[in-house]
Amino acid sequence: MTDGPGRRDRSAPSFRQLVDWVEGRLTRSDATEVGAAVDRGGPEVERTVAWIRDFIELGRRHPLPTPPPIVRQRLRQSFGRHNGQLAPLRRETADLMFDSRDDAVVAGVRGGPSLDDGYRLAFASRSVGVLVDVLPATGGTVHLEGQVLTPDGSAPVWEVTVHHPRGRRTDSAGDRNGSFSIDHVPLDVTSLRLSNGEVELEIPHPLGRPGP
Amino acid sequence: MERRTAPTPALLDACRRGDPAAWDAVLDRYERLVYAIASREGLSTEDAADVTQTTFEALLAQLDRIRDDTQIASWLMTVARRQAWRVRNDRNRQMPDEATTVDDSVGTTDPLADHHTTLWVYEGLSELDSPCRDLITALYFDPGTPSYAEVASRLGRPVGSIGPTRARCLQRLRIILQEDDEQ
Repeated sequence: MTDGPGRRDRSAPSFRQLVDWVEGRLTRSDATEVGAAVDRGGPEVERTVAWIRDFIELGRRHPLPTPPPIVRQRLRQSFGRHNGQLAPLRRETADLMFDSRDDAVVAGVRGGPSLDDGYRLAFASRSVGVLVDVLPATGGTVHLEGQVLTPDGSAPVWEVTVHHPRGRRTDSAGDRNGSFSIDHVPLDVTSLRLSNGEVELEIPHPLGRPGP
Repeated sequence: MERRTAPTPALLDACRRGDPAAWDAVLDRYERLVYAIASREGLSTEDAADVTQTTFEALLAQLDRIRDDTQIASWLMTVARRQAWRVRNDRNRQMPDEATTVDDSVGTTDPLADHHTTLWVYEGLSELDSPCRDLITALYFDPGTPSYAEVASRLGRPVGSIGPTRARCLQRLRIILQEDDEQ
């Protein structure tokens, strides 16, 4: 037997063939052929097959999940702070620069813009731009899909805190592209605070002007 | 057997000298282990992330006082478990009616044995070069069980290379784990 499936000889199956066989990745004829080779393969082949099976089971029983990207970013910053290499946190406020509902009014859309359709906002501060899609959701809330745009990508993961009259809620599930996604944002949200550990950005009135 | 990864003591020495690349390499090697330990203690994603951060910050704080750099994985695991227990107990005190139940569907019934097994295999994985380690971790230790196509896309490799590379990497890991067993 060789590494190429379908070719027949009487030698022991390769490690790769055994892994493919255990994982069920071979065609039926190749699996039959490797199975027969395993049967006559002797103790070494048996040990290898047993090891592969045990290893797959080990991975199933001892998973190693990936931490959220913000963990690595924070830990890099911790190291910078530890060594006095991290610049102090900058605080900035972002202003509304664009509201897609204004475009709809200018274009004379019949009946005017509606929250039912969702709309897009763009905010900008001295060093950061933020795009936010405001999408309708249930229970008097909206869903926000956003992306933070920065001139350099040194700390691209942003944590977002939603402030409203009854409290606040923080979401740390931002990704390495600066994107974030927040469910159940109340319509009376007063501000969003975004932080990447280097800049803390406040967006007052993050849903733009009151809807029509 | 060629082992191309820098030994942990050398990385920690470089960290002590303030080398951010060495710190990144330490995180590459152990971040997932610490996060897995915290997750396995039944913590939420957010709490497990916080425990991971606290654990590595403790490492930074103790960097100059650690006696045996070769035992760093064990040190991290111990700190992570203690931090995770503390967070879990705090949560249980805050919500006594919803006392945290640890998911026993994974791992053995002996948590200590469970963690030692994790550490053993993790130490083996950490001796692989980074492409091999990433591939084996994605294929066999990712709880999302991604397909070959997903793994290929994530790692920026052709799908056709996954099978053959996986076999080579698994063979290397088998030798490493067997050597560790014999020591």
